[in-house]
Amino acid sequence: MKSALENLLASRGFGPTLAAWQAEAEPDAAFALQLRPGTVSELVPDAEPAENAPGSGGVTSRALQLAAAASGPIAWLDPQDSFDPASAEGAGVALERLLWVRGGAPPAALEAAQLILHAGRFALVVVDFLALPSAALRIPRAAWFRLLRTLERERRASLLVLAPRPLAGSCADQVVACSYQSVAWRGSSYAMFDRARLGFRLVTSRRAPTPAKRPVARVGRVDQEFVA
Amino acid sequence: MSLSTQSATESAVASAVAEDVASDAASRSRGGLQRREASLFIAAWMPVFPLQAAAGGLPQPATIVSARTGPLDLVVAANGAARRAGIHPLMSVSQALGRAATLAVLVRNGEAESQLATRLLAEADHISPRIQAVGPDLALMDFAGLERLHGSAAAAAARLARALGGFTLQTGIAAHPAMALIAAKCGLGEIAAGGEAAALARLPVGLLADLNELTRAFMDAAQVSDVLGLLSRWGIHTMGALAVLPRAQLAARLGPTGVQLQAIARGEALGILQAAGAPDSALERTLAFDPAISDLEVIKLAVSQAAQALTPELDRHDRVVDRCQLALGLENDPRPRLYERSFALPTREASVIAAQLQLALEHQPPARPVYSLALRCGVVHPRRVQARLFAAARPDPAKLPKLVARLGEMFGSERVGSPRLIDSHRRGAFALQPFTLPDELEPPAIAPSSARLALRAFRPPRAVEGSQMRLLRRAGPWRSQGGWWRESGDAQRWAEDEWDAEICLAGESHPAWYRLARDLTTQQYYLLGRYD
Repeated sequence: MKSALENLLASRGFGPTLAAWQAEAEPDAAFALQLRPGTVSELVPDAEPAENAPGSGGVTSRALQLAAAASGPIAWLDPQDSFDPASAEGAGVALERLLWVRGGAPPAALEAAQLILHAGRFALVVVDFLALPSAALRIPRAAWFRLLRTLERERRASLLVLAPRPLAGSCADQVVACSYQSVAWRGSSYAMFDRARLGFRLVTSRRAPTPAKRPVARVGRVDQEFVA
Repeated sequence: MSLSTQSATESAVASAVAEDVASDAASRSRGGLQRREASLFIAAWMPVFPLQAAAGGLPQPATIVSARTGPLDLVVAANGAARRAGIHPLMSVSQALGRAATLAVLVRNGEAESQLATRLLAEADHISPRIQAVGPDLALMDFAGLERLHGSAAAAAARLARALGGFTLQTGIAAHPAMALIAAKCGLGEIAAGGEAAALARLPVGLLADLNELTRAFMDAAQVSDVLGLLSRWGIHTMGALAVLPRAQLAARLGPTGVQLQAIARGEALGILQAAGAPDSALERTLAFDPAISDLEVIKLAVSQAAQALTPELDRHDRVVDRCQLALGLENDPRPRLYERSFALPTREASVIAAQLQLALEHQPPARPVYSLALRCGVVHPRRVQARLFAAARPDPAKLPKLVARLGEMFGSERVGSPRLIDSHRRGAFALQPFTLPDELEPPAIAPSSARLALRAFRPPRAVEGSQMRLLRRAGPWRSQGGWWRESGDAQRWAEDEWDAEICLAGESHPAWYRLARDLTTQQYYLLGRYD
């Protein structure tokens, strides 16, 4: 009853919070990060957000969107304990197939990721380092190579790293930067804005360019194309 | 008694029994009752069971098994050579050694006896699905209708004896349970249907006291003992002598118990096989160590052995383990040290069960030497599902519980699990449940073309003052309160106003979207999280 009422209110523009916000990001957009099994991908906030856009880049929203589309169990490693189950469910993530590991230091989170990948058949493992200070993110390169080797052996799971800056170096299959491009402010007491647009910038990719995907997505911009 | 006298006695018993049986049959057929035909039972008995268990078979030299009872070491069992030397149970060991200087003395081993009894039952279970453990040393099998599967009953009994190679086994085959049991204990082999009375005629009447497990459903053991004592005083020492007594007069003097004992002595169908059922809820294995063990690796090995010992029973009854408890008896500590684990996906793999407990032992090793170990496993029926061709892949069932336990050891079990939203007006209320996967994973829903904004929660919420932030935009407030019926200070009680706000915090160059709240009791502002 409660959720039905909330949905009804939301459909009429009376969403109680920013949950009424609709991002125009197309999940299948060519540069909006596509996860490949057996690879490491990174989502980072764009260092140069658009003018009048908030500093947060929409990384978590996009990660939840990818988790909702994963075809199998998902593990969410959350050293800062900032995962919000309500947001995840709102994004379409099936909570009953989500393994949430709260707390721990970054090395412990990577060790847990290694264990989860060894267990096999998890479709997506998300490591959320987004809000951690840089000092805490001094991770030896060997740890990323270990993870990559496990991923390549299992060939089922994707590892998605959310971080303030690229961390995995050459182990990353692709690094995508996110930022809000424009916000349609509403200015009412019911919601701050109607729509926001999320943009993606491909920072680096190990994939070969695919001509069929050249037409840039309806959203986002491509500042740097297919850097090998 | 000469041979001719014996023959005369047997024929007299047979004719007397035949008359009564004929009259019984006539009365039953008149009443419409039919005797069950083609019933067949096999009984398997291990003589001197404690000795066989302790020695791993029946040794030829004079050997006894002793156990401490009060201040004395008493003989519990003795083999044939020892009995021929005049040694019998309940004699003290020092007396026994006085009678046979070369006597070998073994200490009674309860664990070995338990294992041998389990093995006897497991092998019997391979012969028949309906078995009863009449005692640790005696198994009774219903063989009716199994000839096509195993051949004759004698062949099945021989197969059972071969399966328990190294141990001495006596088997008895008869048309009803009590006869099969007597045939096994007395070494009569197979008793043909109708020849029961003649086969039993020369056996001592005291054997009837050994049938308590079969007859307790309709006879009281104390009454049986009283009746047998009375028969002994009357000079009736054999089954044949009891069988020929007139039934009506026997009933008048000894009551129904006397009549029923006579019916057994005449070879009539009495005794009920109570088939062993599957364990209802738990299985248990215990191990004792002398001296106590302090090496963790040895304790882990013992846990593994205990888990493996449960596997045949789980297989036999088609059960799986959904939770287990390990109780370690520690020296100088009256309370056992407990380790408990539950399995999201019930299993019967000994390695999985042992791995869970070994992880727990590594995490919290026992502080003192361990003298006993009890592994208790809760069992349930296995769930069977047929996997769909296009179902999503799922983790290996054997690896998942171990993974969750390992993560629980690393991060704390209360910090690992699957979130569930609680149906509450309190924003963000959730519970963390143990991570399990449904039998089938549905394919993911088609991703929407747009998405909701995600919140990154601050746990605990960050208190802010007006001077620390510059409010650029806001929407709200939305008031929520609940738990007002609880006492002040209860964590379940809340009352707050919430805003979505674009705020530029002091020291930050860019504004961000936050969820802002004001506690209505303290008027303190908090940032509950940041939208991202």
